[in-house]
Amino acid sequence: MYRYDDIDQTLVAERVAQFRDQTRRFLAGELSEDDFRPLRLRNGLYIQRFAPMLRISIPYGLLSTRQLRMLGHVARKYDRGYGHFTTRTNMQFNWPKLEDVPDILADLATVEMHSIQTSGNCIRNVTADHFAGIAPDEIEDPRPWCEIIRQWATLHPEFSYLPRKFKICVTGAPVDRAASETHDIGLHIRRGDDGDIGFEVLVGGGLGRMPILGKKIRDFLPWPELIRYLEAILRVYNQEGRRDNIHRARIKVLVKAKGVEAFRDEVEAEYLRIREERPPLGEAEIARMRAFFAPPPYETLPDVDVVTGAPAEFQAWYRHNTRTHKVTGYRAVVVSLKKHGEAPGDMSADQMERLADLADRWSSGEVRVTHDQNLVLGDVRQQDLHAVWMGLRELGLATPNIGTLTDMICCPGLDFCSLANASAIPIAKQIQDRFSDFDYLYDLGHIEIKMSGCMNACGHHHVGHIGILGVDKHGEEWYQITLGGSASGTSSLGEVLGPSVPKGEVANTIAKILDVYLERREEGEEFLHAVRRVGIEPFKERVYAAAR
Amino acid sequence: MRRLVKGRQLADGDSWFYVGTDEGDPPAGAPRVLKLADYLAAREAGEDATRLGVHLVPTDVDVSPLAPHAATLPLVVIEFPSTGDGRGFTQASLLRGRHRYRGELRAHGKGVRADLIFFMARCGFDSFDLAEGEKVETVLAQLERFSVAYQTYPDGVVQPRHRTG
Repeated sequence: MYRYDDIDQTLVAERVAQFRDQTRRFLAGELSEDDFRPLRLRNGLYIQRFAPMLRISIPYGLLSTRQLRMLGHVARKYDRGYGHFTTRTNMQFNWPKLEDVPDILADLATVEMHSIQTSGNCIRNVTADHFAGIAPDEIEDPRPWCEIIRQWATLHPEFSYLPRKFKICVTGAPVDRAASETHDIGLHIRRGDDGDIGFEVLVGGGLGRMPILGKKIRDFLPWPELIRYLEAILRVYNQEGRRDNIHRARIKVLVKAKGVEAFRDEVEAEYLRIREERPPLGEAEIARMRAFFAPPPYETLPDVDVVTGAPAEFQAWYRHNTRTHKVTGYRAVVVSLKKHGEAPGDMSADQMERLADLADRWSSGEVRVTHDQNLVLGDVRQQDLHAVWMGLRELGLATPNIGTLTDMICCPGLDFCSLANASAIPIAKQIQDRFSDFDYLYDLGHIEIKMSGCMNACGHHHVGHIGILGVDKHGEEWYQITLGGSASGTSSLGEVLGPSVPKGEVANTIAKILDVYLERREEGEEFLHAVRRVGIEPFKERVYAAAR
Repeated sequence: MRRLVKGRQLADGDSWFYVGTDEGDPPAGAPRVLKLADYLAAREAGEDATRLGVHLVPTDVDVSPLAPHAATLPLVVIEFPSTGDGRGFTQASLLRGRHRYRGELRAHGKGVRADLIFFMARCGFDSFDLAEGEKVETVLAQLERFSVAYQTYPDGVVQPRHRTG
């Protein structure tokens, strides 16, 4: 993985000093709350319902075990012993004290971590496919490109005060595992006719109040042009994005208002001007970056049958929680943060520290964070899978539910977030309680539930096969259900099923939806495909039958 | 009363009169700063280039009309109406980088706050009309805030170290 040099380390240290000074000035009354807000947000610090919330950057979801242990240390020393992984693959702490935050950031800096630009109207953490570098279908590892973008975006002198937040995602495989179409910019690595790589460029995707999938503005951008082209997009956006209305300020609104062709023409024109002024990315720089992400020294191993004769529970875990690796004899293990009864994406300090031990012993000393709030041990020898399973099971991290109904995305909701209209975690628990039978979950097959406690859509509800959105109706929590959304393969936005349902009825409503699926599905047909084939009507009829 | 930071210190005074911003009439013979359209018209009318500056507001997205005047312009003032409005960073970058403007580049407005000064300096600003209440020493300290940077930008007042090679 990437390692800081003197430049990186100095920058992070100076950032800590800057924030320490800003916090001091705020506490001394030299900075008003309004003045301090944009400064603290650019360091990931929110003032929340109960306490400040600190969001720590995990660039493209990659953590060394040393970093994971540090997160455990922060959870233990400054918080209440746990943290929460987000859909941006960051970690949030819900209970730090404002006056401790400079010390937390100083601790993080010792392991090459920071919270720079994890909030605010600036370029946010760049995300990538969580199977980067190990997926059999990969064209090229996206992470060196992500790191190049991360550095370019960090404390950018021109683009640090944008109209609104800005999210970039890079994928390196034909299949999109990172929800790239919901990003302000989605970059897909493609191989050109001459064999060299480049990027398909999507722009203007996003969720929130105006959900929309990204539009392609470039079929193929040769790799040396990456930063010059990003600058052109950001510059057009910084100049022309709306600043009069926070709900109309994302780049998607600008792209829509101008029309994608006109927007593209403007970007291309600016890009041609920038080409005259700045050098392209050099071979040496990308070679330097690629070296950081070189594969670990894999052993030459045969594929092993570890399933035959193994306990049924292990077999279920193997089937649902492990994935094919590009190297023979290895597998990728998905660590489930979706144990029934726990808040999705939460992890205790103890789990962090002990998972780090497992990753050091049985994988490559790295842990990946997925955008759907699980973790991945990337390089496990097949012969060690049983030991890894035992270790994870002991930590409560081996729930064999990856890809099933209870592998939900869930935002912190009303329990923590000051933006939320409704709770999300209690709904997740309601669903976990109702659908606790694994045979039933396995029979249902692949279903993605994504849940947000408000329109800001941190829980990506628009692209859930089943989306759940919490709304406030006269002080009561209600939930709007959408069906048929997806963020991978053929992406689509879910369709609203009908009027929202009361808090106590969410799991019951989902049960009715699942009944219709089980009755209507064809042989081997997944939920999403069944919804797309039969349409929303049969589901609507069943759910609202009694009310008519 | 304008408080102008220039050359890493509080300037003694400033003779420029911002037409449409400063109160009253310009003192006789004072050099004037005009809004973009007025500036272009004044130059068209043959006024003395050395006595005229231009004041850009955020909606002056296209700064290229200033390109022909870049060599003779003594002062460009860029308005930052709030700390949230970052359009001035692009205007400055374009003037310095694309149009080779070498005169004084001054940030003005409620957004000229200590914590934005470093970015402003990196985009090529070399003087700052401090927002009300902003302490000079706090502002000056921010110019020393970062000794390193990832991006190559016009800089000038600050000169962070970059990775080489």
